[in-house]
Amino acid sequence: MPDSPTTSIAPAVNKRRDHYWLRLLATAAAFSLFGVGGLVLRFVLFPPLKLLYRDPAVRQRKARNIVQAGFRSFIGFMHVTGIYTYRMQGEEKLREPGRLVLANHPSLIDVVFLISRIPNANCIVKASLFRNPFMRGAVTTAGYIPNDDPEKIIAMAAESLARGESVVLFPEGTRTVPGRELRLQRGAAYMALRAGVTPTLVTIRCNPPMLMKNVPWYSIPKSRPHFEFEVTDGEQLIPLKDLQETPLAARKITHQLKVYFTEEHAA
Amino acid sequence: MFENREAIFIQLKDILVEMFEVEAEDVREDAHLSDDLDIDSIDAVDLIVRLKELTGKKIAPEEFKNVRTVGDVVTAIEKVVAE
Repeated sequence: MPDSPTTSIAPAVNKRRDHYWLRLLATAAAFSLFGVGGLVLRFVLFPPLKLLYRDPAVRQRKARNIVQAGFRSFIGFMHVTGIYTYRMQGEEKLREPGRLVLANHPSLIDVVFLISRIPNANCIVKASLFRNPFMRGAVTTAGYIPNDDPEKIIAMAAESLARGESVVLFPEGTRTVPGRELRLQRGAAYMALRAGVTPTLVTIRCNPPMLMKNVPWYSIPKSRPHFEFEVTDGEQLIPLKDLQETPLAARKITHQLKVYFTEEHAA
Repeated sequence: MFENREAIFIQLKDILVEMFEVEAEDVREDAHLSDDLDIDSIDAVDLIVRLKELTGKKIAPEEFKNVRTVGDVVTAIEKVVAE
């Protein structure tokens, strides 16, 4: 992977550097590209899928492959244009089928990074994206799960895992607010319990932060951000053995996830 | 067991403590389910299943749609039992 990892925390900078204006321009281009990409999927690439593949499961798989390839190019675009540098550790784990991938959520593009590395990835997306003209085509054809009804989300995710698909979820349900105590929803724990799948944990660090919650896209960091992705098998950390799907078991797992992500983030 | 409001409240308190390990003293009529007791919508589904077993009545999830506090749950159970 062509990048220049910096593990230490970048010093606080007040001066605009690392080609600030170029990065801003590239960020504007990336946002436009994302929207255009969504439309291309909806009107150009996905319609033929309906004709070529009658079996909805096959069609969905093809659609997800296309999304994965698209996201991979998009991640590459933002990398070569110098919007960020990044490093992934243990990404081979993400290629195995039937993974329940849980991650913290510092930035808007976390899901793009993750899906670009996960074959046949299903994910839980904001229900409003199913009405968004740019995103609607992609999220429906790829068969993603809308986040409206908690019980339905858990059931659909568990079925998806049982079919050997991987499911990506941010247990916080929304982007992490830096400096605030982590608040995890219990849906992720219920999915793990119902499907009997030990979660695969991804710690995402982005320094300095970019595309955070409640920050407009053009308010980019003064220096170039570096993303780190660390993929860990949850086997030791979150033992599912002998656990039934009960509110107490879900609380226990959610607590273990919270401890893990809190410690990892502090690390 | 569900003869009056007070009895229902005591029963409900026991159930909440047992199912969700909330602190008994936090369970008051005005306690907010999600904010004060950390009981989410998935827990609510489990709670309704449990209440169905205990009351032996059918409970439509809609009857719990506007439930926000412990007191609201008590009122909802009162209605179900009276039916």
